[in-house]
Amino acid sequence: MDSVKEFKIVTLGEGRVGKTSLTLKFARNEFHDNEISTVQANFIQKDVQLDGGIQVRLNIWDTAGQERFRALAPNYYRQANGAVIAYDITDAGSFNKVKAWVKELQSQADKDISIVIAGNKCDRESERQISAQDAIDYANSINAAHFNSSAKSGKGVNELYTEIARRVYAVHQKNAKANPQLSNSRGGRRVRVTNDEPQKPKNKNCC
Amino acid sequence: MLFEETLPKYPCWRSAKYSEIEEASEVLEFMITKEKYDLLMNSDNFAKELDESLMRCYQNLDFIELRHLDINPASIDQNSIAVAGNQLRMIGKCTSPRDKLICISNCFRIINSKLYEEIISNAHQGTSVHGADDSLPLFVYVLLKAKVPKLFSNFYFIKNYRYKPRREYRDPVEFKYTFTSLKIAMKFILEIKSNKLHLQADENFKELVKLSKKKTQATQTSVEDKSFRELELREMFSPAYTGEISVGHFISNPQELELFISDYFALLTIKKK
Repeated sequence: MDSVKEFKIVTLGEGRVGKTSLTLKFARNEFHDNEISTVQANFIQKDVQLDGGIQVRLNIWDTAGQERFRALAPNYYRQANGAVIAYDITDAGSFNKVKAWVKELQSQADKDISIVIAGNKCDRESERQISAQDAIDYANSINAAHFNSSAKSGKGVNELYTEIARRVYAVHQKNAKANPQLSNSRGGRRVRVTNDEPQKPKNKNCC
Repeated sequence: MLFEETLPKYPCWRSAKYSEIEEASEVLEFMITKEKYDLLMNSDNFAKELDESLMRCYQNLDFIELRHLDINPASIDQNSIAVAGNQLRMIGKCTSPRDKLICISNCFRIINSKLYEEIISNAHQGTSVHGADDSLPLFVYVLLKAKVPKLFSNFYFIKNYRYKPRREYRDPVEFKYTFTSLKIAMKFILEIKSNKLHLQADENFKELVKLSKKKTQATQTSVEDKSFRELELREMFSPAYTGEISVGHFISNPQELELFISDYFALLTIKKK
């Protein structure tokens, strides 16, 4: 039985940089207008065709970007295969947040996690505050891909998600070769032995 | 609970397809958790403690309004909050992990459909789409207002008794996502501090908490008495469930589990006759 490989992708980024719009734009290409009422953008599932006729399924999770939920983010990216980190090219602060996310992912997420950085709102090129070259250099330095995207025009959106699909699939293939018994035949996720301790809040009282 | 591994050892299941075994395991999970519901739900002190902490937080945070979480109050009507809360409250009536997951998902769906309606009505004004940025704060608000009793126990129940590979891999994404959101929302409520809320200059977090505490305690003492009585009664009627047997032991002991399963097959055949 040849089942489609499934991968979990989280979309990270500061609030209001257009994370959700990106995801929705990517999902929407497949839907007709009259079906849109069934679309909600918290999590979407979409198949991506890779070179060589390989099909992978991306489960894309949207996350709450507000600062008040920041400390809870590890719950979202637990067991994620890939992360799309979005920033707003017209907002220098949001790019600094990207760096913070990358640091956090490198220390706390799955060590094989693939990262793609999306410079969103590139339709507003005239208001650009982050130099494109700086962003690309930074992405290269952490072995991530960088895309300029626009959820409004749809530019770069498909390329971005195809790239992350290609990356997570490559990691999966590499791991499957190295440890055939560890790869889960039904999905792309690796079976990890984790110390599954119950979550214990540090402070039991809220005040 | 490795039904998927245990079942093929029985003669009648030896030739079954994997999908059939999966389905049977789902049914077994349903039946066993239903039969042993009280034991599984009430045996964990850690969960009970957190239930109480959550309850305390609900009381203390009674003052929270939509604006404290940066949700535009004009767009949400309190009625839909109540509907979503009622969906979530059903979680206490379901006895299987899967049904409980469905309750959480339903609650989330209502939240999303309400948000969606709002977006359609605002579409001409160019409002952007909604995602977790909008639904998570609203979910937190629904939890605070619904004050679902034993919410953490229910969460813990799903975590422990939904067969892990099923919960983490085979379940629909919706279950996984809403389950994670519930975890995040509960954690947020338990760890809430004044800097996590959008307070106005003249609002003091500690004062507000004090006020809510006073207000809720005045009305809720009678309820507490009642639930305590209930607990007492339950313990009187089920002496076998208290004391020695711990859930961890029950799950990690395969022989006992097999015994359970064979009991169930025996029960099934008797019923058929």
